[in-house]
Amino acid sequence: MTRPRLRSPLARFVLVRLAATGLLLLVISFVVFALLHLTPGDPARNLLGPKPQTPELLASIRAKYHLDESFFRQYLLWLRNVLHGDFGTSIRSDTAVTTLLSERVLLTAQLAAMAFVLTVGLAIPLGIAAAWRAGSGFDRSLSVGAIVGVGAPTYAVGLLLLYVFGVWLGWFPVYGSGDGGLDRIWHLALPAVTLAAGIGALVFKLTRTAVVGELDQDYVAFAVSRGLSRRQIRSIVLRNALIPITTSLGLVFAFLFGGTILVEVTFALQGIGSLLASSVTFKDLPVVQAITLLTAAVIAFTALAVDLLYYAIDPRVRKQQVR
Amino acid sequence: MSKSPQFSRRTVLQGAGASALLMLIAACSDSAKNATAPGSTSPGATGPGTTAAGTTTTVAASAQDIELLTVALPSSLSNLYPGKEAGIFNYYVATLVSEGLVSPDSNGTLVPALAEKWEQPTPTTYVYTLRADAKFSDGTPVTADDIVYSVGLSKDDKVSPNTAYYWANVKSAAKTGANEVTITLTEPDVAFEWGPAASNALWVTSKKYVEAHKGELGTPTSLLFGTGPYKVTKFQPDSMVELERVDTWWGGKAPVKTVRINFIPEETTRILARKSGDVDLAISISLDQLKQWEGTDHTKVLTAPDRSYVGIDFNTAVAPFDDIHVRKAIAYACNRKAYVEKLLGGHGEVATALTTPLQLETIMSPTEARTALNLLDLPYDLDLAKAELAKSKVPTGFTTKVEISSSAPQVSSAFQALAQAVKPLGIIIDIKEVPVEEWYNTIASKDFGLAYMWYFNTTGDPAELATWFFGDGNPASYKNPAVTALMASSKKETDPKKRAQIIIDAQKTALADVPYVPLWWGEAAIAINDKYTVKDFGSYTFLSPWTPRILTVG
Repeated sequence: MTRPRLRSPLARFVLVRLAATGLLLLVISFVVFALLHLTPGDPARNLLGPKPQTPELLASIRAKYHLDESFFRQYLLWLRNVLHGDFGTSIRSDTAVTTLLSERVLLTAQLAAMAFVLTVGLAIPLGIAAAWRAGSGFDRSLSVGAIVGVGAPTYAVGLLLLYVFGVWLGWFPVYGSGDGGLDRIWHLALPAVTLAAGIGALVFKLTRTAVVGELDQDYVAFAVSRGLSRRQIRSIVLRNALIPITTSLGLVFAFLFGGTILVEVTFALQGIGSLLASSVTFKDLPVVQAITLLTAAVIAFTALAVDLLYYAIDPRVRKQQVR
Repeated sequence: MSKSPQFSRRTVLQGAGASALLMLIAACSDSAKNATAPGSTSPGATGPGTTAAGTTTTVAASAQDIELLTVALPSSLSNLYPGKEAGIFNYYVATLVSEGLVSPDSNGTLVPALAEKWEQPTPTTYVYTLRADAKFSDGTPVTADDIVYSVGLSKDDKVSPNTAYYWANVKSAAKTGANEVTITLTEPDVAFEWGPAASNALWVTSKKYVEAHKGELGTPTSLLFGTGPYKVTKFQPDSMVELERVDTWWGGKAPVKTVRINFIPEETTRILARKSGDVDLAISISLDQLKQWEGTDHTKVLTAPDRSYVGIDFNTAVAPFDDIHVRKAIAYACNRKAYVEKLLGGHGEVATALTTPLQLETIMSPTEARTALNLLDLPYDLDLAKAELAKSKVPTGFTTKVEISSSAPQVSSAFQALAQAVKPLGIIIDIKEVPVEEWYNTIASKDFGLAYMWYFNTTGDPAELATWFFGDGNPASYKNPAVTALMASSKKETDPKKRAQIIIDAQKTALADVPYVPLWWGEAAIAINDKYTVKDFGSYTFLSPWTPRILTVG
């Protein structure tokens, strides 16, 4: 019997990447487990807090969460359960990790998506416009604004927006995540702007640089001398400049998804960022493991999606693969 | 009782290092505010013994129907059943939904809850008679079996790791009549009386309900279920909980229809939420930011002693703190009066014992309580500190370390002041701020000779903290047979005054060995929309069904 061979290079590429992603997640899970194990502290004592603790009580809690087992056995127990689809129970809240995460993942994803839309919708067009008028007053003022955006600490931007738009003008709520639908969007508006500010400024600079770089290429001068219309030239330039921008957008989404913590704390939003922070200090292993793996998976799959997109928009890449 | 673990604002702000902007915002908010609204006066510090601070307003207030009360807590709840997560705020929510057999009133005296009366026929037996009109929020009547089952839940260290301790001395809980439950202790313990209260270690729930939810309680899929004036309608862990009034409560209809409780860990956000009117009541506001709260429009700040204790623990099993001269040297260098005046802005009281005065005020006057608790003969005197150190095994000094929770900035400041004071003696104290969970791990740890305790008493029992601090596994590794004997005899003494005296004697004997140095008894503060006020605000306010205490002004 012959083994079925993957004829399509694309399918082979995807399969290899998926296998590599699986391996990466396994390694990350082990490293995070080990790091958390090495940090000082004892979840059983954290659960009890400052109150009388008898050795029997501590032993009973440790037994319940397998904290009394050896490090490797704890990891293997965890891994076995995960492979069976069981992410365990949070030590801090005694709630199934999947229950704990479901609503929070949605909130963080919505927040990241809104910030992403803002970033893409504003930073890229502004970056292109600035590049087109490179050196003009418009370009310079946008560039200065971008430097401020990159430099301003997230929480400071958040508090400023809260004060101006939440309290002073009263246009937006100052905390919480709303009741879904439009109310959710209204509640997430300020956090999304806060989150988008820094990364949007970065994407603006990147777009501007990419487009300016393309405009300096010889083919542009050649196209101009051949008398191509501005519209035609713009289409060629943008298509070429799109490659670095697209690659960066993948990273932007991954960054937004994994970087919501400061915004979540400032706006009292209960996403996975704030949960990760409190779970790390509590040493709530099952929760930390689930969140880090989820974030790693989002980053890995976004990177894969970007590569596929790259494949789609750049004919050179396609040709290399086929050869 | 612990403060709930929280992701502290300070940890976020530290390292980010742009406090200038914060100051700018604070300045903006000050300049933006209008003239202080009538009635929004802050009462400031209260004199000793005043349980209801801040009721300085002369405007008439009455119980009126309130459609929605929004409450903001400074830290997150991840489980609503206090047996599982026992931060002080878990109790504040649970006491609206669940009840025990007894309950503390606003002075801390135990009064009936689900038990209409109780008696103690023998020193080890407590007989509770249940009220006939008690119902769960779904309308089903409470049975003696439900009580016995709920005691079992609270006693089970797997289900209720935080309360199992309180039931360790309970031999049995049994139904002894249609409406009667008898709890039998292994050995007499007068303090047990506090156990079956929702402010301490019992939240009566329905056996049928918990069994239908596979033994889970307090999670979003198995909400806390009880007999109180409210039921939980929505719970998002670490985000919010919403309570809806029920008509099944034996105590009648509560005045507030919906209570929405949000968890807002960032204090600046909480202040902004009050400014914008999104929050009516902020519980446990930071003393650090009292000025900003007081400067907020239409906001009244109330403060009152809260039965909390802050003090130094020396682990007497760790060198050089095994030497009483070293412990005394440090104790003499504590300027406790200055800590209270400067660091707490007067919102506290110099502590002279482990028992807080409020825990004696049910049996004596506030002045008598303070006189009785004046057990410490360690004035602030650096010369005496120097003399003590000279007598010790380390006369030229030593280096030590202490870890302080980032949620306790005043404690951190006090230790900074102490470190400055003992530096000329050659004692170097390295102070590190850590997340609250790391602090837990320094308590009773052999790695730390120097530590501190910030303890919230849950009961009005004067022996509460002493029982832990002088018992097995205490944070100071302290052993003194005379003290142990006194504590044992206190458990059997049923006369409250005589018992209090025994507990005081035990503390006097123990504190002479300086295993602990009491620093201050704390105060709590709340901020409330000046449309409302809280009747008799004090340390027991939120430990029994508390919405009837929210009064509407005018």
